[in-house]
Amino acid sequence: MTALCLNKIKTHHAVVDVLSGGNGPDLFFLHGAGGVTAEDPFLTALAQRYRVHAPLVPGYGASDECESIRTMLDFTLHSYDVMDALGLRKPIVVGHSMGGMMAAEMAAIAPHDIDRLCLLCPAGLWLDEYPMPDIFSMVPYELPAVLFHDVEAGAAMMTAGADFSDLTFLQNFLVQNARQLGMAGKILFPIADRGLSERLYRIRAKTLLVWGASDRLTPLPYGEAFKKGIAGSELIVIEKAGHMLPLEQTDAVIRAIDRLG
Amino acid sequence: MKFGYFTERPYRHIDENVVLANKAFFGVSNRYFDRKKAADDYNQFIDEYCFAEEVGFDGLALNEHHGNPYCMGNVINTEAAVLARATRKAKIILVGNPLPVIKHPLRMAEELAEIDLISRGRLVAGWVRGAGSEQFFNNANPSYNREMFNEAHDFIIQAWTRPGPWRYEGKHFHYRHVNPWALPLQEPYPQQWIPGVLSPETVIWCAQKRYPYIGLGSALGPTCDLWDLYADTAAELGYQAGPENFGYLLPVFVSDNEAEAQQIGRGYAFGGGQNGFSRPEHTLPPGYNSKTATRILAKAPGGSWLGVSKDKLAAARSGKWQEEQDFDVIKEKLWNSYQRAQENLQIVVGTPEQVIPKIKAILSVIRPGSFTFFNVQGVASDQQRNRSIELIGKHVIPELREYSNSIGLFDSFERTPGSVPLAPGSRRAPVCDRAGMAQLGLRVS
Repeated sequence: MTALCLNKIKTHHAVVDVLSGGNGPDLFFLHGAGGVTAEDPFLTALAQRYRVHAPLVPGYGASDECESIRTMLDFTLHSYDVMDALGLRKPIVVGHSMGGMMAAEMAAIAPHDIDRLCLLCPAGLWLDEYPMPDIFSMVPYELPAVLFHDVEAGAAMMTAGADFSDLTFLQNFLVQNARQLGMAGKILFPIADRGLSERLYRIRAKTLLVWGASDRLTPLPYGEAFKKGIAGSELIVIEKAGHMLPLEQTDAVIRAIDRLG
Repeated sequence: MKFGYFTERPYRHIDENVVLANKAFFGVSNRYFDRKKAADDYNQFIDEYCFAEEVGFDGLALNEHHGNPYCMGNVINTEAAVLARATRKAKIILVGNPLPVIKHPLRMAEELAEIDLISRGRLVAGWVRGAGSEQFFNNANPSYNREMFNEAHDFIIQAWTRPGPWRYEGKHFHYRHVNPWALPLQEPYPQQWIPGVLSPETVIWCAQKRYPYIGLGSALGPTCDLWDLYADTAAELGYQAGPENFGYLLPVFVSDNEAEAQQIGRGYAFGGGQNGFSRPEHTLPPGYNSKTATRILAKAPGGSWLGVSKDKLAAARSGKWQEEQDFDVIKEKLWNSYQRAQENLQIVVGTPEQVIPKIKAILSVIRPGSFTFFNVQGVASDQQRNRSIELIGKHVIPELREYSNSIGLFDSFERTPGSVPLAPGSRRAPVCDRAGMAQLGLRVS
């Protein structure tokens, strides 16, 4: 297994934690609202074939929140700042959920700077007919039911290695959870619609949309709406996968990304 | 010493099981709202405040909440405006207006100025951040709650003190023409009392602004901790904090006989009481609290305040967590929690003779400059509520007033908060008496 290392880089706004590792084409990965760690099985598997660069949104992991990153545009340009600081030029850009929303915004804001884009069940749209469950009014133990195809296995995955009988662990978990979602809330609260639907037409990158067939957070009609909005995009639906499809169907997701070449 | 009257204005025509089935007050459907009964209730509550003034209370305290039957006060400035005209001498104390969820500080400055003018200078303005559930109800982004609170407060002070017209371009608020015609009667502006339960940031902010901090029925140990934090901050700023910097609000119910007091006082736990105000997922939305405040909350009891107690999280691994569904079992637990709250002096219930020594003991420990009596929740009748007000006003307050004078509990009108200088490097005086807690058989933190 290829281990990912945690490095710190500095951008205009913040000191950013970046998980890096692997060999192959550069791949810039933007995580979802739940965050990502160096032990993440999806990133580790991805690093078998790609040189992975996965920055953490400030406030995630052990990093501090960033007060000056506030709007969708701030998050988008900050992601470009990170890419520049890493010296990456036209990497494959992959984003999951909230990270997919940021990746789509990047490709829409500067369409000539991203030519390969993979969006894993991105947030960013709102369909009245399919209202997304409000993750901000859920407690952690309710999340597996909306995030996973296999709820029981998903719950076990989310709590793996956690010792909730250890009060210090519990405190740190709660503080981290509040801090992370506090940052995410800037672009996701109350809903994730920050006008992306009106900008999707600008995306020129070869775009793959990868969706879990049992996604209950952003159900499949959202994938179809993205496909309609991004000219030439392709929607790949993966069976036996929910919103956390990178964890539930790791190989199938990586095979999909491979199609970007 | 100022003695205040407070009620949440509970909606009393709902079956407790409806609240329990909803697992909280917040979110109970308003299809249970009976318009005719509520019209009577709003008038009853206004009458209660007038009666409280008549029998000797110095202050009438109002708060507001949204979207639940726990508190019918949804727009306190409306009720405060009525009291401004209907009463004659009591302070009208707002604890407080939730600035980040109202999101219109210029309008707020105008409304409060009118209330102060109509009441001929009896308004005490107070600010809160709004409960977590209020962020949902009013769709206020919790990530910006404190920023908006601070900015709205600073703007209102300017609006009351800086001659207009002027232009304001802030981070969250923008006004092209600030020139409120009505300004408060009290110059430069009314006192501001800030209620809180937990956040150290709020305590420090109060100490910096020299505003009285009002503890909302927190247990005596943690209350002493907050007082000390305030006083330490004050010392750094060069002043000695004292009773004038602190207030305390406590559930108190008084009746002519103990058995009735105990039975009706149980209403404080009706539907889960304060702990059942909103479900965990609505109580502390992400971003609402700082890391420090979250850490304090997570300490006890086992993080259950945040809805993620270790039991629930452990059970979540197997997806087998089940909420308690037997309402009789829940009610028994609530009865027990009501008894425990009395043992910890977080609820005081009884005859006048029984409650007086208990409140004296509380005053001796935390030495506040104001003490506000929080009338009972639940299904108590108008007569029972009024009788409690009468007994407190005529029998309890006179004795407490004498006692508070004997131990030097100055209120914020008798001694300006922050007016007692403290020389740099000198040691501050204590602001509470933890030893008194031990004598009461309470754990000293």
